[in-house]
Amino acid sequence: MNVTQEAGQPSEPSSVDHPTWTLERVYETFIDSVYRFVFRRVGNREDAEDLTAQVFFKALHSLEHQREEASIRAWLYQVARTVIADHWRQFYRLPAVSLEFLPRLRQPAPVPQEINTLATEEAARLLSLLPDNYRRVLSLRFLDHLSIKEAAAEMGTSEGNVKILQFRALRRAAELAKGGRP
Amino acid sequence: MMDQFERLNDLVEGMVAQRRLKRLRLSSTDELEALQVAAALNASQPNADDPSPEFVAALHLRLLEEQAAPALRRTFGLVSRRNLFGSMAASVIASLLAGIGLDRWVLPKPAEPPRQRRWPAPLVGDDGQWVPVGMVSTMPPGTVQRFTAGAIGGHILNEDGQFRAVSASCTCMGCILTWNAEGDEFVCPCHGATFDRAGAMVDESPLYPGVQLRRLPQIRVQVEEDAVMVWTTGPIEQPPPPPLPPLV
Repeated sequence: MNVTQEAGQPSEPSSVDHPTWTLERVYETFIDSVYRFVFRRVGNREDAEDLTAQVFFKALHSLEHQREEASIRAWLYQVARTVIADHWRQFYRLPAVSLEFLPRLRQPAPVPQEINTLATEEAARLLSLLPDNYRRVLSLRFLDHLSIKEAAAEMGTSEGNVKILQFRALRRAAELAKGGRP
Repeated sequence: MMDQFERLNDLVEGMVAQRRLKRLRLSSTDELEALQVAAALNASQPNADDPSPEFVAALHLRLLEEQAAPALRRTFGLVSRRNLFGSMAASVIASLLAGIGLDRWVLPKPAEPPRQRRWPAPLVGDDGQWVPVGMVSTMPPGTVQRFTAGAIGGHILNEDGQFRAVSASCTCMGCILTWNAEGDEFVCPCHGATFDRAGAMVDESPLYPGVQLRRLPQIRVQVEEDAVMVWTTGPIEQPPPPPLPPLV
């Protein structure tokens, strides 16, 4: 919290004289977008917060401050990708994990009403490509946030079956997403 | 042994609840990809991806602590980084630094080699200066008046003709304290802790029961003719700002 604004502090960086970025400016400018970038890939708030913190701690120690905004952004996002990849490696060791597939889905498809609430078109399109029962189980779990028990009741099947269906639906979605890569 | 359907569902449960995922070991890339799709779907609802204000504020503070750590280590010479971060003292000191306007990334000047940083000096060292913040004639005994001088924000008090000043930054997170004349106390607007005129904590924050906050740092004061001056540092506005009207 600043009691006084330092005099002589440029309010906007100029790309001409190699602006320096204060922690304040880097943080205020990029915290929201970096967090969203991470969150959309790890899918839960707590992990997203942990990983976002890692990105900014690395920035505090390693980021060269005399850069242009685009360069700072690129640096932060590259670090975020690395941090996310490390995160996934805790679950399964892979030489390289890259599932940036949702934004790369290409096939256009009509989006059914029930999944129109999805914020990202890519996710909605992905769901729309699934068979009905797969789309249904994922919608109930991830959009309506029903428990396995509730989803089982809704679908008129057993809890064990919902778990199996959920797994297969996610697998199919992953295949579709990978197939949608350029 | 847990089968892949159970295992994935276990992870999905955590994800839907927005909790950290259990670090379960998956058995195939198929499972991992299914988990990643689940993550993308779970993140795809409107407004789900905004960071919480609490998180944004807390991370900001942690970064300030990290930034201040080398200076603190140099000053106190005894705390390891790990101990430092574990301790309440770190938060308090960092918030003090933050509260007096030193919460900037102290950057290398273009002429300096990269990575070299200048770190905040102690509160106000020898390189301070006296700056007038009020007039004796407008501050009768009992007055408590907010001031900002250079990098320091504080309250100046006339205690039966004796002038004293304390920092206006709460020693919890650096929020600016307000003076409550009725209760004869400084109140933190962020977490509700209160401090007496001398800067000692009176009531702990209801949000952090049992946490004893440090005293508010004292600021040196001197009177020169009608001018009440404080010892401060940082860029001084010229001419100095006119004193604010008394709060009491």
